[in-house]
Parts: sequence; structure tokens; C-alpha cells
Amino acid sequence: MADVDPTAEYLTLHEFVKKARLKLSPFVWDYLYGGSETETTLKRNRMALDSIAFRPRVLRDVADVDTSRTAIGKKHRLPVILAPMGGLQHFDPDGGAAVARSAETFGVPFMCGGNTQPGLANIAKAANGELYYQLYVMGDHDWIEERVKLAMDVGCTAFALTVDSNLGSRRERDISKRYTKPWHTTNHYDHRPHITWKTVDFIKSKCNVPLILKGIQSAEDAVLGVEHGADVIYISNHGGRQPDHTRGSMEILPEVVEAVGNKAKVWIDGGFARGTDIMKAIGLGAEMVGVGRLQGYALAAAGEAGVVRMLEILQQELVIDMGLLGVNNLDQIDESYIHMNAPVVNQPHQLSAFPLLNLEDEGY
Amino acid sequence: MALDASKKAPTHWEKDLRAGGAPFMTLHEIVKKANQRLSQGAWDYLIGATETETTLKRNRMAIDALAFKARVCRDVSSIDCSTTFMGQDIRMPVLLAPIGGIEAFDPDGGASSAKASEAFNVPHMLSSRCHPGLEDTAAAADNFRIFQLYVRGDQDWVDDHVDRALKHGYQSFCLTVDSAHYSRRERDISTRYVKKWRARVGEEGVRYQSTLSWDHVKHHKKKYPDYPLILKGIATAEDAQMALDHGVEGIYISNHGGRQLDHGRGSIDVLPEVAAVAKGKATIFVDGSFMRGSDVVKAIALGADIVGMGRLQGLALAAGSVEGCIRMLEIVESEIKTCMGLIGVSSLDELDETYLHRDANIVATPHQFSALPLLNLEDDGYAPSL
Repeated sequence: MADVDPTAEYLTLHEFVKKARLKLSPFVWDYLYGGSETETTLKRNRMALDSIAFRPRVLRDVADVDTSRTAIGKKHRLPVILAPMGGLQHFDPDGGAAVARSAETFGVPFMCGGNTQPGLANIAKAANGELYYQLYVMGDHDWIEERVKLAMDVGCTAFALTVDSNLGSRRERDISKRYTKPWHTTNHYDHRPHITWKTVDFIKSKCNVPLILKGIQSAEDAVLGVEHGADVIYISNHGGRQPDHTRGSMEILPEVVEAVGNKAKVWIDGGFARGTDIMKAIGLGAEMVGVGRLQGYALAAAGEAGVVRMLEILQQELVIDMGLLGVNNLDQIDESYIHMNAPVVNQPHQLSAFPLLNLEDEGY
Repeated sequence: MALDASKKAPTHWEKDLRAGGAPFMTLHEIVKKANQRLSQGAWDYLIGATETETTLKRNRMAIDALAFKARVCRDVSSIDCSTTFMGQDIRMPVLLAPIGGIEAFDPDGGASSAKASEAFNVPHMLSSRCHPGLEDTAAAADNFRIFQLYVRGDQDWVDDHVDRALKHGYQSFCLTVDSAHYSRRERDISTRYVKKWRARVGEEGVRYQSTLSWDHVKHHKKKYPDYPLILKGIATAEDAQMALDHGVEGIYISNHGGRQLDHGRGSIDVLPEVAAVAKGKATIFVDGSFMRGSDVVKAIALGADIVGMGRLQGLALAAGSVEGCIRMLEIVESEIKTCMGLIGVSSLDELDETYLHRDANIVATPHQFSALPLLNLEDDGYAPSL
């Protein structure tokens, strides 16, 4: 790979974080950065990633490394989804429209969140990239059916139901500052607690694109999901923003992959911030990896172009990391490259993947 | 029987104290001096690693998770840490490991390490990517030398280097196998530090390293059957076995000091599985954050034949050139002997895993200098001069 171009504005991922911190208000920053209650789930996401080590193989001829992956019938440049985030419009005024354009430019899918502005129809119009839709249930069956129809009408190629948000969690950074997220005041939570497997069956019956269940955290629910027609089991704890004190996403991946077998694909998110993080998930059987916070930092730092640049750096990392692991494509990475229960060298936290980042230093 | 105190051999530090104090009495003083002398760019290059620097920290963490099981009443009045390495007697099982761009720490580059190697009688492995090059470094000292190559050309280019290494007295030849891609050293990238020796590398040259395969090893063993070959950067038992199958004489366990693949295992954690397949069949090298005599003793006990020291060598050169490097080796030797005596062994042959307890509590957060906890780089006030 070519050496790093020293004239580029962003050369490392942590530089986006720094710029985002300088640009965002403390309220928006904490919304992006924080988790629920003790933020233990969030930290366990990082800890689970950081306790895995690689077993690199040598003398494999890795001059041509291919980071692409096919998902939902389409080939993408990276095994990465720009994960849904409700408040994208607070990081950049164009919100989801900006990210949709980034996704098209770079060549990865964007999963549009149900609360993301300027709304699914406008976001779909903004770009021609691969678009998925993620639903928060905020109405009855008629309302759901309308959303499913809209998603299909605007060209979404997959439909995700969020299953980890039946109640609003306590995000104590926001609560302590009496920060009310503007988009939450218009939300209707009345219907969410009533989501059951019947809701899944209903959506499946109305939906003619692959169905994703986002927020699965156990092999048991993964099996139920497959039985109810899910095409993708999306392991997520909402970035540590829903139930606190659950397991790190990567701790859940092996049991879900084993339980699901070849009956569905397995996607995952939760603390992914590096090329090496992605390789670990692929090695343990995930098809795609969702990137949320990192997307938010890049969008806040430099808008639509920032998200594209973030993906470029992530790809640069992944190319080098795969070459150094001794593989030419993602399909070659399996458990033989993975060593579990390796020592964790840093205290896990939101930004422990970026140890050189110094947010205290205002100067750079 | 009374012991005659006057006949007791003084330890190194006692001798030095009697002589009025040597310039450096502990390894961390060398680090301190290097820190004061080096530019920020050169310092970061030397102490930094890849991406999150997790591999580097795991190197330290793996060493720090080993505790000694010291044995007593063994008569350790005479301790010998010399060994036979690839057919030659050396003073201790330490290799001056190859450092690319070593001229950033000492203007004479690899030649200074070669001189220290001769003076102290430990082997030096010269990196192909440093000043003053294969021939001039060989001319600088009459030492035990090994040549380590980064492949930047075709097979003829490689063979030309092998021929030159043979001609200039390099006792064995080492191929680097952990550097198929140049890693992201984020300290350098963040500060936009462009290393001069990197600026010279063309895209095409680097590609040759990426295409390396076992076929290159086969070619070497066929064309140079009597010239010992070392593969540097082995990180699994599987690849160690493949190296044996290809007739390789030296298996060098390394993650490049945490400077190539991030999130690898600590080197000393890899050592047992490699020793299980290769001990006695090939010479086993290991490096990765070895910063102390006791670190070296742990590696020997787990089956290594020799331990490479890179960062510590670079720091010693920065602190005091050839003399600094020799002094560093003296202190390491003193520490090895002290450690051996205190755990109850008189020679390296006696060391085995019965002297080690695994998964011991780790008392410090692992980092580049966690082996030197008294070092305080924030304090500008002290550092002896050579």
C-alpha cells in the first residue's frame, strides 16, 4: 500500500474524534459519546474486542488484498454498514442525506434510522447508493405497514426491525444535564413495549425485501428470529445505549453464529472503530459490521466528505491489517487466526481504540 | 568455615561505585538520556508502534505475567551466562536486533551496533534498511554478524544480497516475513513525520515484500544449502513447523516490537507453542519489549536460544553511541547474572519452565517503559552524561 499522503487533512481516525469534540456542543457530544446508566455495556463492547488477539501467518503473497464483501446481493467495498443513528442531523445539518451520499460515493450500505432527518423519502432521493431502513415501532399495524411500504417504494433493499428498544433507556449524561433530545419530543413510545414475535411475523408478511432483526443478544433469540423468518440476525446492544450490564457484542457473536448456522446471515455492531476490529468479527463469522459512533465523529468533523474519508482510512487500515495477518480476502479469515482471552492492555472506554487521542489538549 | 569477604568477587555495580560511579548505573538512566537527546520525531519512531499499540503492550504484559519460582541453597557463587549460539561462543544470550533507520539514533548507524557487538561479544543482526550499509558495517567491526533483509527487488536482487552477505562475513542470513505491508505507525502519521528512509521506498519496491512466499524460502535453501537461513517474524506454531519443513535453521519469533500487525499476541506468549515444535531442531530467537536481564531469563527458561533487543539498543545508542550500547549490555548482563543467582541457577542450561509461574498478577499498566518504573520522563532534572 502506498505510504500515507502527508498533505491530506485527516490521516488517522482519531483526528476525526478530536475535530468532532471541538465542534460539537457538550450536549450533542455526550449524546454521541455516551451510553446508558453506568456505560458498562458500552465498555464491554470495547473490552470484548480488545481481549482478542490475532495469530498472523507469514509468506502468503499478500500483494493484492481485497476488502470487498457481498451482502444482500450486492458487493460492497468494505464489510461495513453505516449503522443507523437517530440524531445524525445534529452532527451535520444534512443529516441522513449527507451520510447517504457518503455511502454512495464510497460504496457501502447505509441503514437509515427511523428517526433520522430529513426523513426516509428525502434521504432516498439524496443518493443512489445501497439503502436499508431501520424501524422503531411508533404506531399500530397500519402504521407499520405504511412504513414497510414506504421503505420498499423508495428502494430500500433490506428492512430492519429494532428489537432492543422497547423502552427508552436512561442515558444519564443527558439526564444529568437536563438535555432533552429534540427528536425525542416528537417520538411516540406507546407502541414500543408491545413489540413481540407477532410483530416480526406481521412485518415479514408485508415485506418483500430481506428482514433484519437488530438488537439480538443471545443464541436463543437468534434461533427464534430465524424461525420467524429473519434473513439477518443483527447482534447489537445499541452501542451500549439500551440495557446496561449486558455482554459486549463480540462475546455474543460465537454463540449466535453457531446457533444460526447457514440459515441466516449474522451482522454485528458495538464499539467497532478499527480495521483490526472488523477482522475479528469476520474471523468469528460475521458477514457485516455496523459502524455508528465513528460515523458520527466523521460527520461532525467534516460532513459528507468526512464520512467518505473515514471509510478510506478504515479501508487503508484493513488492507494493511489483512496483509499482515496473511490473507488476501475476507473469506479466508476464520477462527484459526483468532486467539481468545488475550490480555487487555488498556482500560476500556469509548475511545480506547484511540490511545494516542488526547481530548484534554485543546491545542491541536 | 569462615568466608573471606575480601575474596568475594564484587558485583558490577560495586566495582563501578568503587571507581567513582560509571555514567549509567541503571537501564532507565539510559532511556532518560536518550529522551533528552532525541528529537520528538525520532523518539516517537523509536518508542512507538502500530495503530493502538496493543501488540507492543501485550509484549510487556506477557513478560510481566510471568513470575519466578526461586530455588534456594544451590551454591550460586559462580554464575555463567555465556552460551553457544549457532556454533559460536557468545557472552550472553542477547542479540543486537536489527533496527531500520538506526541512523536516526546514532549517525554511524549500524556500524556503532557492530562495534558494540565486537566489544561485548554478542551477535548483531544488521537491518538492510539502515546506514551505512552491508559492506561498510562489515568493515567497521570484526564481530559475529547476521544480515537481515527487507525484500525490495526480484529474486536476483535478493540473491545479490545473499552473495554480498556471504562475501562480507555475515554468518547467517535472515529474511523478514512479518512486513508484507508497511504498518500504520500513528505517532508518526499524526505528527506528519516522514522518515527519510521511508521516503526512498518506491511503491514497486515495497510490493516485492508483499509477494514473498514459501517458494522464496525453497529457492534460498536450494541455492545456498550451507548458508543458515533465519525467518524473522514467526508468530504461530504452524508457521514454525512449515519453516522446519523447509529446512530453515533459525526461527525468529517476533511481532516487530509491536510495529507490524496490531492486536497480535505478546511474543513471549507465542514462545511455548513454537518451542514445542522447534526446540532442538532450529535456533529459536525471540524479541518484543525485552528490557531487562530478568526478561531475558524468562525467555531462555521457556525455550528461546537468544533474545533480541531493539528499542533498548536504539535508546543506548542515542544516549551514548558505541559506549552507551556496551554499557547497556554490561548492565543487562549484570541483571541476568543477578537474576540467575537469585533463582538458584549457575548456568543457562539449568533454566526451564519449572522456574516460572504463569498468569502471575501484573502490577503495572503495560507500556513501552513499564519494565523501568523508576523512569520519570516528565522530570527534566536528572540524567548522567557519558
